[in-house]
Amino acid sequence: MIADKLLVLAKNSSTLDTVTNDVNTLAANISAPAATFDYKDATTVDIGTAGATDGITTNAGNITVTALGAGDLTLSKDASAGGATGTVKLDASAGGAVTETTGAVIADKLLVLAKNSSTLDTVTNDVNTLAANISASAASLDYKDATTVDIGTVDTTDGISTSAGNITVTALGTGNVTLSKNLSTGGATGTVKLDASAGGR
Amino acid sequence: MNARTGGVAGTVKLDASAGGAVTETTGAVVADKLLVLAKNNSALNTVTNDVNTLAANVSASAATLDYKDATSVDIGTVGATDGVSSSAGNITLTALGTGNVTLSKNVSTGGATGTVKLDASAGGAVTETTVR
Repeated sequence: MIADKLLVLAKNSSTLDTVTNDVNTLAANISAPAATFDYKDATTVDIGTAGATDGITTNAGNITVTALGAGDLTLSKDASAGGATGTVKLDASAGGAVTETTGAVIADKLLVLAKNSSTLDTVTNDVNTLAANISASAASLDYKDATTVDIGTVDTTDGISTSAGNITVTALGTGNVTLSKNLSTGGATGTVKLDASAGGR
Repeated sequence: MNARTGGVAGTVKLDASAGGAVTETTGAVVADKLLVLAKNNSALNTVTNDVNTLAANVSASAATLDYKDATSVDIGTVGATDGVSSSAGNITLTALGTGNVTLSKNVSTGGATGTVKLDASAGGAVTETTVR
């Protein structure tokens, strides 16, 4: 798949994981309950608007979007599994970053895998469980959630880890930040900031 | 006018590549394979189209291709043409009923501009098999 924009509309689980896919903007809607969406891109890809469709939406199905090479994964529109169930996995671990510009993630669980400093600070993010790994030395992770968020296990990743990079997790409104798994910068350097100052604990 | 091979076997090749377009008004294509070659915007939107494999090239800059199929359709190889390509024009491929859209060959607008829309929202899935 080679294009500026790609729009995928389907009822059932849909997989476009050929590693040479290359589009600039991706949007999708998968309608059947629990039906999943998987997409891989060879370079940078933005979850945005294609046609009349904004972002990626499933009906409680898992969403996995992967940027390969040195590609970044950006969100100018939402990736939403609906919220109650479903995992969103954003993977730029090959060599890029995961960055929200104006888009948010709405799901039960969110997994962020990246090499470089990644920022998901859209104030409408809303997941129950977050896990992340940022691999490059001193690369940081910032995440904001509209409500309570637990640092836990998503897929096979436990908690949040960096390689000496700062970690900031913020719960807005009356939300709490809870830790069922570790947050770790490795120990020698790096700051972990857990912020529920808006109204939680 | 319908172009019909009976569906199980046979290829329909519609070629207006010298300078025209391929357009369905009320007719459909029923065949194993369909190859569309055109210069200008081409639309094959009759809902009773039914082919197993589609390949197409639309050559003019920004010229588009639209294709609808009543069932599942694979973007594959027909004759010497692999997949569906345009020159920056939008490509829309729709499978109706419970049909799937599968890609065993590329769908490409060239990359800089153009939107690819793969639509199996009526009841199917969108899946890549072997290549992009």
